[in-house]
Amino acid sequence: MAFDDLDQAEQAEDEKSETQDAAEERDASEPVDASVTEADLTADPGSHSENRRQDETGTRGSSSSTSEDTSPHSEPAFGFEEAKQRPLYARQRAWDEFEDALAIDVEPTLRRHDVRDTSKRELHDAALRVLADHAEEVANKVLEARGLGSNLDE
Amino acid sequence: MSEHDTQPRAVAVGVLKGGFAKTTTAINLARELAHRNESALVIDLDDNGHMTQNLGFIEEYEAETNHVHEVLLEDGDVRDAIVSVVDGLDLLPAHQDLEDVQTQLKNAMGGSTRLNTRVVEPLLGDEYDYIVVDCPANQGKLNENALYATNNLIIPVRPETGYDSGIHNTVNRLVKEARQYFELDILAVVPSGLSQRLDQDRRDRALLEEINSMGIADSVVPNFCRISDEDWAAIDGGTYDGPLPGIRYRSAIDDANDAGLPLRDYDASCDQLSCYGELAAIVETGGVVREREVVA
Repeated sequence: MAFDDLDQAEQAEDEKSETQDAAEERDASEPVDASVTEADLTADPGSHSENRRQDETGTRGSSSSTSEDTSPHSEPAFGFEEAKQRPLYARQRAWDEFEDALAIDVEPTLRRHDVRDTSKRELHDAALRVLADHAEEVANKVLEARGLGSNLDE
Repeated sequence: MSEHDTQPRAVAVGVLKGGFAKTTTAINLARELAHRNESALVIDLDDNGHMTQNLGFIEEYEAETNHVHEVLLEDGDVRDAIVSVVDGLDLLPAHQDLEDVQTQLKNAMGGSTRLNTRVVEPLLGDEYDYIVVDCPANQGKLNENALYATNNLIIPVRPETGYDSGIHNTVNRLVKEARQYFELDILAVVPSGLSQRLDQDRRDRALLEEINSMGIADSVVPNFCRISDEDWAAIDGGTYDGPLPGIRYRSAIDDANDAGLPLRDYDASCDQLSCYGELAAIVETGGVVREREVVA
C-alpha cells in the first residue's frame, strides 16, 4: 500500500540522518551552496528517474508500453521545452466549453487507458492538431456565428 | 524532527494528485497561522490558480504582466506582488501563465532555488514568521522550488479513489527525488473530507487505518486523526466516545471556499477549525506534539 512507501522512505531517512551526523560535523565548513548547484545541474525531472518510472509502469501491469526510455502512461508526449506559449483569444463561454470537454470527455477517456496527470500542453497541442484536421468545421463555426449559414457545401 | 522549537518556518502543502483538498488545507493552515501569530503569507504556486481566483484576485491572476515571472525570473520585488486577504494573512497570487514560468525556470541559472532566494529568504523571519506554499499537482520546477525553499512538506489526502496512487507518486517522485539533493521533512499527513462511519469497513476507515498503522505515524499523524488500537477496538465494540477523527466534511468548509473566504472568516464556529489550528501548531513547532501516548 502507498503509505508503506512513505513509512519506508521516512524510516530510511531517519537511519540515514543518524549515520550522517558524524560525517556532517566534519563537513560543516563546506559552503551550503554546493548542493544547490549540483541540484540545479542534475535535477532535471525525467533524466535520472527514468528507470524508476519504468519499473512503476511495469508493476502496474500495463501491457502496451513500447517506448524504450520513457513510460507513456506517466510521461507527457513532449517536454515543456518543446511547447511554446501563444495567446488564444476567445469568449469565456467558448473557453468554458473547451475546458469542460477536456475535463469531462477527454481526461476520463485517457484515464481508461491508464494515462493520468496529463499536462495542459499535451491536451492543447492535441486539440490544435484536431482543429487543423477539421478546418472546414472551423470555417463553418465562424460563418454560423456571423449568421451567414453554417455549411460551406450549400 | 527531534527538537520541537517554535521558530519561523516555511512549509509546502503538496501531493501529486488533484482533488485532495490541497488548496483548502493550505489556505486554512495559513489563516490559522496568521490568527495565532498576527501574520502569515500564503504563496499560490499552483498553475490552476484556484486559491487566487477563489479569494477574488482574478485581476492579478489574469494581469498582462506576469508578476511571478517578474519576481522569479526578472528583478521584480516580491513585496510589490503581495496582496492582503484578511487581517494578517497575505497572498502571493498565482498567475495564469505559471506554466511559462516553469518552462523558463528549467533554463535559468539556479532555477530550483529562485523561490527561496527571491521570496522565502528575504521575507521569512522578517516580514512573516510563517509561509505556506500551495504546490502544483504535477512534478516540475515549481514543485521543486517549493520543496527547496521550505524544506517542509504537509501531505493532504482524501478518502477517494486513487489516494493510493497519489501518495505513492508523491513519495516516489517528489519526496525521494527531492531528498537526493536537499533536506525535506514531512511534517504531517492530513486526511480531509472524512464523512463515513468508522465502524464499517469503508474507505474512510481504510484510509485512517493505513495512516495510523505506519511506523512513523506518531511523528506525522496529527492528534485530530490519531487512532490507537484501543480506539479501534472501542469503535468496533460501540463504546468509543472520543471525538471523531478529522478533518471531517462540513458544508461550511465548502461554502467558505465558494464565498472566497478562509474558514475562520466564513464560520468561526465550525468545529473543524481546531484541526487547522493543530496543523498551524505543527508548523510552528516543526512537528506533531503528541497529546497522549498512543499504543498502536
